[in-house]
Amino acid sequence: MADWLGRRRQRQRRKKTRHRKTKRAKDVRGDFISSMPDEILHHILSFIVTISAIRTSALSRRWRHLWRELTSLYIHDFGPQARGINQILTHYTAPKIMCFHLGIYNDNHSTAQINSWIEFAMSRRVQDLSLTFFNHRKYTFPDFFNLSSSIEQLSVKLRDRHMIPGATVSWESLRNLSLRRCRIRDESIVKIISRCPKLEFLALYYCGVFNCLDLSKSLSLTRLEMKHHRWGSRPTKIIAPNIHYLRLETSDTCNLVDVSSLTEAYLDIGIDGNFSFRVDFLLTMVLKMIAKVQNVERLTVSKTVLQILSVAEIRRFPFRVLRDQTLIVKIKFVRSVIPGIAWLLQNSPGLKKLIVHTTDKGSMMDDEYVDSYLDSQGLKLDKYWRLKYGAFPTSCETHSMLRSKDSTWKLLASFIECLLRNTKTLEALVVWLGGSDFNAKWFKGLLRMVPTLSDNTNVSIMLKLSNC
Amino acid sequence: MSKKMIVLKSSEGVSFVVEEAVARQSKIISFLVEEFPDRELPLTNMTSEILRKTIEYCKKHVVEDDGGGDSSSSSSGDLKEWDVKFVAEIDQPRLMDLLMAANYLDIPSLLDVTCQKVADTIAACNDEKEIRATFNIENDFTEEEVEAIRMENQYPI
Repeated sequence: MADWLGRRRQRQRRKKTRHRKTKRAKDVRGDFISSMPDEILHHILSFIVTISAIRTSALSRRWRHLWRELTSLYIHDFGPQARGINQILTHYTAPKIMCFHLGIYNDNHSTAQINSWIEFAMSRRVQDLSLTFFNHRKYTFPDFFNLSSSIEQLSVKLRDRHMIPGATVSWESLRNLSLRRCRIRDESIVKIISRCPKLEFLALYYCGVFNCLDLSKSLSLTRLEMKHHRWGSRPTKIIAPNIHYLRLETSDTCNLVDVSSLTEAYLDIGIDGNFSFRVDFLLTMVLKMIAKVQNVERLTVSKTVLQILSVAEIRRFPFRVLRDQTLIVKIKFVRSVIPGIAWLLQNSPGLKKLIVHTTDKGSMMDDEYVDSYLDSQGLKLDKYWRLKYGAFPTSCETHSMLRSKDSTWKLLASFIECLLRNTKTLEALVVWLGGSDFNAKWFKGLLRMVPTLSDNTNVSIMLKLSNC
Repeated sequence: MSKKMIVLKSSEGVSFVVEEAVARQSKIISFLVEEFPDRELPLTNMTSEILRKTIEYCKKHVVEDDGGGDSSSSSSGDLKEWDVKFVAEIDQPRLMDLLMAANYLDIPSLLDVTCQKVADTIAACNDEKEIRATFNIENDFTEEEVEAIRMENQYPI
């Protein structure tokens, strides 16, 4: 935090220096910002918390009442207390609120008080409502919250508490619903969804474990995102025959009973540390998930999924034909993910486009855990790695291997050759280079070397520089 | 397949030849291209400098979108970082011009990044005096009026 503030101040200092240099130019223009139309000034002020926007009312007459007509309000209680929030809302005059964000971080507001703020937004026909309750244990949602014809986007973040909708839920315009850490029962989520006839997108992040998520009656709901990190309980059944897009991040079995309309899937496993003792379980789970999404056109997989699929490749698990035309893999140049990519390529006979992102983002297992698992299975690893994937470093070696431009190129060239060896139909390969191991100053040099790879292939190869 | 090019002309009369897909990120240009195909489009209220910047932004965004990243991939994360750098390198008067250009040409994403930058600058100021100094805003209040508004804005903490 201190570091961030320091950087911000540094930036401001730099800005001030520049500001002096351009003073003459600015003087000629005069008070340009105040001459901008109201809509633009409103748009500018909608990017900051309301309490900061209010400060502009002391600038000049032009700015005096501007904030009162903002269509987006971002209210939280770590600046003004309840009385302050009430005053802000009394001064606010816009008849319609597009976006209302309420962040409650203290535990000392009464339920009636919080209800009055939500009611305020709802009475002005809010479209995009976002509620964060960080620490408020006693709060339950009022009945009027369950009835709205104006809300199109709703985001609720709780702190592992139950969210129980009343019997009369009806959000008839809701298109986009995102729930985080709301403990919610199977029947409640089904009830909510059945009363949102226009719902298109549903996100459930860490909302506990469902036994069964049945979305079959919701015809408009086509996009689903789920993250959950509990395991050891019964697998969640997902019945979602109408969804086109699924993003699933799980460390537990999800039984994808029906996802027959899926065209796009993003699979990720959330793991940390030593999970070698769970590899068998994860392998079965990943293969089951892959089987269920085998008809998608566009498939994205994370590093951990690739590591698990590496085991499938090394143990020569039976092939399953995937119909993906675009495959996106998130990787690091680490030996344990490479066989997993090979497995996917060998099993994607219609693949046209492969996009590789080298990135630090997302979890992954240490190579040694994968090795120790394979060792426990009696596989002769040394021989295996040397023969097929000898060019690729373990997670400990990656950094030193990417120390020079030439060694980076050597690794990249072996990687691309390995990809091309495993696919026959590929038309385009895009490699995004990023992550802390990669040195961006070599990028231009690497770019010049790419044509040497394209000589023996019809695949169009593109390198791109990533900041992630 | 050759890409279709169009010509945009700045207020100084300088012509910029741009791929149609790049320019079509502006809803206004998109409309004009359909109405007047094969004609130079004069943008009389935009200087060459600002038009060049606008085209730079549009080029970056059209190329990156073509890269095939999905909405949550690092390519869109990269694009955001690129946007931040892009506006950070522009001084304030030009940022304002670029903002107005984005508004005039109707390029919502460019309007958002420029407005965000102005908003961040406002939020980073310690008080209204600093905001006034930063943006050269003329104060037409008396000292008593400013004090009264300040009192009004003292929300209980």
